[in-house]
Amino acid sequence: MLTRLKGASIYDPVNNLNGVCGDIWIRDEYICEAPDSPEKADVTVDLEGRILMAGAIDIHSHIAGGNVNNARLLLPEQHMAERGAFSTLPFSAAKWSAHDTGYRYAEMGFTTVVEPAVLPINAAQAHAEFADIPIIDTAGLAIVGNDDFLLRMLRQREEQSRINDYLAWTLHATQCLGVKVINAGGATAFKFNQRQLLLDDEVPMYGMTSRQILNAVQRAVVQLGIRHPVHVHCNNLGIPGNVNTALDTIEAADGLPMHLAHVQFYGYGNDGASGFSSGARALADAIMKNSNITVDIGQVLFGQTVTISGDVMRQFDARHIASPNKWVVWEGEDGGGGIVPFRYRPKNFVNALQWAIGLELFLLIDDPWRVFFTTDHPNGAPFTAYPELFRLLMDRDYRNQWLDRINAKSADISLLPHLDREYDLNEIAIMTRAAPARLLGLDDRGHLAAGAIADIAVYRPQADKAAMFGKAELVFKNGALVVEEGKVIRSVQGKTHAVSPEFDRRIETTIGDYFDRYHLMKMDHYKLDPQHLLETLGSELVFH
Amino acid sequence: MLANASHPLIDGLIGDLLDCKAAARLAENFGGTIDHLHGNAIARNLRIYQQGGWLISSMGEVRNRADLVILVGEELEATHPRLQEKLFESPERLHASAPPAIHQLGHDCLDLLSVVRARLADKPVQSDITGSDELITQLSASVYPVFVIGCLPEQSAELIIRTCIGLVRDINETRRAALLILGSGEGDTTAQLGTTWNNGFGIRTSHARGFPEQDLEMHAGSRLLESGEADLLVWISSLSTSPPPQVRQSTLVFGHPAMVFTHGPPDIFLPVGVPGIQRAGYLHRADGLRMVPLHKLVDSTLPGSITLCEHLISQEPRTC
Ligand SMILES: [Zn+2]
Repeated sequence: MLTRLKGASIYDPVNNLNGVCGDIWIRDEYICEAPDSPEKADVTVDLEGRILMAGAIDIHSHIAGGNVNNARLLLPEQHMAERGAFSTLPFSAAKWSAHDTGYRYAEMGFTTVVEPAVLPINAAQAHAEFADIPIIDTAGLAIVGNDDFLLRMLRQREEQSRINDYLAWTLHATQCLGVKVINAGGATAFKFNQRQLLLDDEVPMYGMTSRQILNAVQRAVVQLGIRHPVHVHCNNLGIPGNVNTALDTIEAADGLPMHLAHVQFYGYGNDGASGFSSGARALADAIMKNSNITVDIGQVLFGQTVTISGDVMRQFDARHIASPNKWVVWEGEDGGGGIVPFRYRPKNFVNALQWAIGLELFLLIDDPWRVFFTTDHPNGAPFTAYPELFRLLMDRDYRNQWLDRINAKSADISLLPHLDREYDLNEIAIMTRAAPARLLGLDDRGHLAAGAIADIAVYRPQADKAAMFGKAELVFKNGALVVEEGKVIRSVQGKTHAVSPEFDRRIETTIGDYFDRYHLMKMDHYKLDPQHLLETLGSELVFH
Repeated sequence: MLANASHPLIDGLIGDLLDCKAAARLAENFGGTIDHLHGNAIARNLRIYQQGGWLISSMGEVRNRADLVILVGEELEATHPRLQEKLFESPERLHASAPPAIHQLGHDCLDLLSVVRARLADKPVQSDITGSDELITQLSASVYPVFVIGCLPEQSAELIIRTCIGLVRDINETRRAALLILGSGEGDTTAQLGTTWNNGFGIRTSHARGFPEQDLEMHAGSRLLESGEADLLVWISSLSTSPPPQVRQSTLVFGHPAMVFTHGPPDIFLPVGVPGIQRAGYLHRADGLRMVPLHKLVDSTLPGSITLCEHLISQEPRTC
């Protein structure tokens, strides 16, 4: 089947197409070269006046796993279904279900989404949920840095090559695309009743600092040749003055690639009468100066949401601000986490400033290849609020209207009134397509060259960017038309992406012995087997 | 039968993840409701959880780190065989050299727990109770006490669990402690967690109005059967040979091939592959943190329940 998408304005930064009018050709699942004669097309879709981009990619969104699923259970009131919502697609009326996640992302033109916090012991459930998310492709990042086996190796000053073997084994066991470090050593310190862990604090019982754990993991990722740099959730999330933690972490990266997640939550100074201020300028400057650093924002948008995090220390600390007043904290073999519902209010000084700091960072970091579009779903806002964020970034007048509605003191001290920048379509295509594919090492997407997966989003140009990006006019997933006029018309099975770096298999003797001594299962039962995943969950893995 | 039923109840769910997915899919397609054999206990714990949350540990953490285990509930050995050996008697532990001290509490422990909680919070108590000194001394001396909660009698379970949750919260203001809630077994954890990411809510969710609605009281399987609101019972039980309850509704069983029908056979019995023997699958560990892979051990021509359900759904797909 050969399809011609005819006459759209094409935004494909990788191939230097910045609104050029032209055709894109699809043969089956892939984008192909134009045939010698246009008459060869089986189907021609006239897209004159439309905007065409590769499918969007979300690098950090909590869409699966035990922590997310337990949040669904905790907060039924946040996702009540409504009459009339049903269609013939499975579970399309079940809000915040795996199915709903796939449908809602697809409607906006997103075709690949990464779950950034797969706890290894919970990896099977994460994959089971991935397999039930329709349409979009998925991937997970495996959490390391609070697992006793790694900390033990560091305590015994094992060689870096052994640490590399262990991390590669962890990816092999969890079938993930990269690794994530969450407050390195923090969950472990919390186990021993410590309530804060700074970058240079020692982790109790293990005698190494958070920085040393982070550095060891970062080196392993670089030496193993894993394309996605170590994905870091820094220490001290949400605490006034923590911009210094972020700056120290950037320095700790020592020129090697590192991704800092949801930096809005680390953009906080402690100046002023309230002891809470914007640290966005200093943070943005440091990011601009260090080209080895990439960040996503974790933008806050106003409304009810729930924070879901593997930073158990931070989530326990946040129990007092739970709204509604209920919270969950849990700990397990290789980490922990917590669920704290929260409502961001525009008239609240802190919330309004958080909102402003996120936008300041988006606008001050003048490199769309290194700053990524996230709300840390659902921590800053649910991903379903993305249309609002597109509009805030692309429409200065709209932003300024908001400045009149938020807490006056926050608006007053914010840099936003002085920031005129508006993201253009080319920058949006970089930030949400080209750059994420490059950052994740997924070369077959994020662009529209022949050979790429035919994941394509078509939008109708509108002054209201929220309306434009909220409902794609057409979306193709692997060449199949899945969305029309912002509505899912067909469901297809997505794939899950992973890496499998080489490692010295002899480490399995040591790990196997460790499991026999300290775990409730055998190592072989802990490792996910791709064949078993396929047979039971229908989960199709693609290795990069 | 499914197409003609106005409100099928899909109950039992004594199965693995794939059986539970089959149940959720059937309920959605045929406008039914799902529940589990131990729906009352699951619903009670879920109600407590949804009202305030809790602070919990995992089985591995108890095995490796707890220095005091307060066992709440008497028949743990029946619902969770080998728990004792695996969690409390392991020769090697990560963060302790000796096994944890075990403090067994009976079903009548509510008053004791309340007094201990009040005394630890320096609140006046009307009258002290035997054993509170001992428990307070143990709690104060331990670094990581864990309240392990098993099966409890229905009339006192809720208050006991709430008191333990409160006690753990209080202790964590200055020190560490946690709960481990083990449930009733027979696939209860998988039924609850595995259906949640499908329908958004878990068990006792009805699709009778065309969209999922959870109601922990109204959608209880036993109530729907007694009142007659459910007009068909679909019993899914791939892991247990026990028969479905005897009811006046027509009954369709997706069951263990060796199921014994003591009150006579159901209207339709479809034997299905047993996960972990005749087919592969997944079952949650009792603490819910981990899904344990089940492997196929013998060749079998028996289909899995999910295969049968997908087939039924394809015969009679939802049209609206
Ligand atoms: Zn996150």
